[in-house]
Amino acid sequence: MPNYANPAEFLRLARIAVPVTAALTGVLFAVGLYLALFDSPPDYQQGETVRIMYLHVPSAWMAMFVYIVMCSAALGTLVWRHPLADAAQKAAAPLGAGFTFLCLMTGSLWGKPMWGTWWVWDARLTSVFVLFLIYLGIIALWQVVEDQGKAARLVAIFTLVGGVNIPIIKFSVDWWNTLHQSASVFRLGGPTIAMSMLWPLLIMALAYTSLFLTLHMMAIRNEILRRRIKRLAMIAAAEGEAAPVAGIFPEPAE
Amino acid sequence: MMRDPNFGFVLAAYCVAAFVVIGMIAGTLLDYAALKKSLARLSARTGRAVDDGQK
Repeated sequence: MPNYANPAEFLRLARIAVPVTAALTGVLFAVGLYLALFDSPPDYQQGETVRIMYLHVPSAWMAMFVYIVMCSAALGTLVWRHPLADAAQKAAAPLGAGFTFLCLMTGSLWGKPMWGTWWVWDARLTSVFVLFLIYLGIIALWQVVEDQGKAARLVAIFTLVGGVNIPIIKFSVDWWNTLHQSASVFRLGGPTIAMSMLWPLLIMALAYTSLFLTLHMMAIRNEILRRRIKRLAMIAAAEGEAAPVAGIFPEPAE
Repeated sequence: MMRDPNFGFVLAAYCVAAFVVIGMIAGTLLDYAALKKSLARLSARTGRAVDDGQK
């Protein structure tokens, strides 16, 4: 069996898998958007505003899913010293921040017409906002610590500590009295949402997941290349050819 | 759908989603293009062939 922990093996896998998952993402988004915008009915209370749900709910799921992926990668870094774990974690953080930002923005655009306000500091909204800040903190931590091995360990610890926020987000609507509605899909007793709305929602969730898988593989590949460039630049420097390289050393003025 | 009084909010949400998704895709692709360029330049300078993930 190929060892995907090996960067060269991973690059070979990504070369095959990225076009497949990218095509799958395109198909899922096309079907999901058609069902969400044209096939699913308006809600009897929310009217057409319910169509924001097809963007908001999957992005909320992805915001948490990406963080769980990062926690797994953090364990890979700290416990198993997996060679690709910190690359996977570093690559996932901006994507997680993107999905969380999308969740907050679409939630706000739904909240104004439905609740009469763009934002309330209730437990669900606040805990998702904290998740967004954690993502930004992780991205910043990667930038400020120069030694990448040290940065990987620090980020891994920070990520695992921040993981306590995930169950808080999930159960905030049960633990506290919130304006945000309680779970209607992943709940004991099954979903309470109509099937005509559940299908578009699930297909959009699959589209988001496939998008994440595609972009994550591409971003890990970028991280592997960044490390190769750094290593090559060090070899060049050691051989007395310390010429500047874009993105690693500043370019000389033309 | 367009007659709904809240159509503007729905449209804005889909525009924001498109902006964020396209931004994430473009960011990843532009990063890859810049890295490949750097890698090619360094490989030529050091005379070492390095896999850029496309060969």
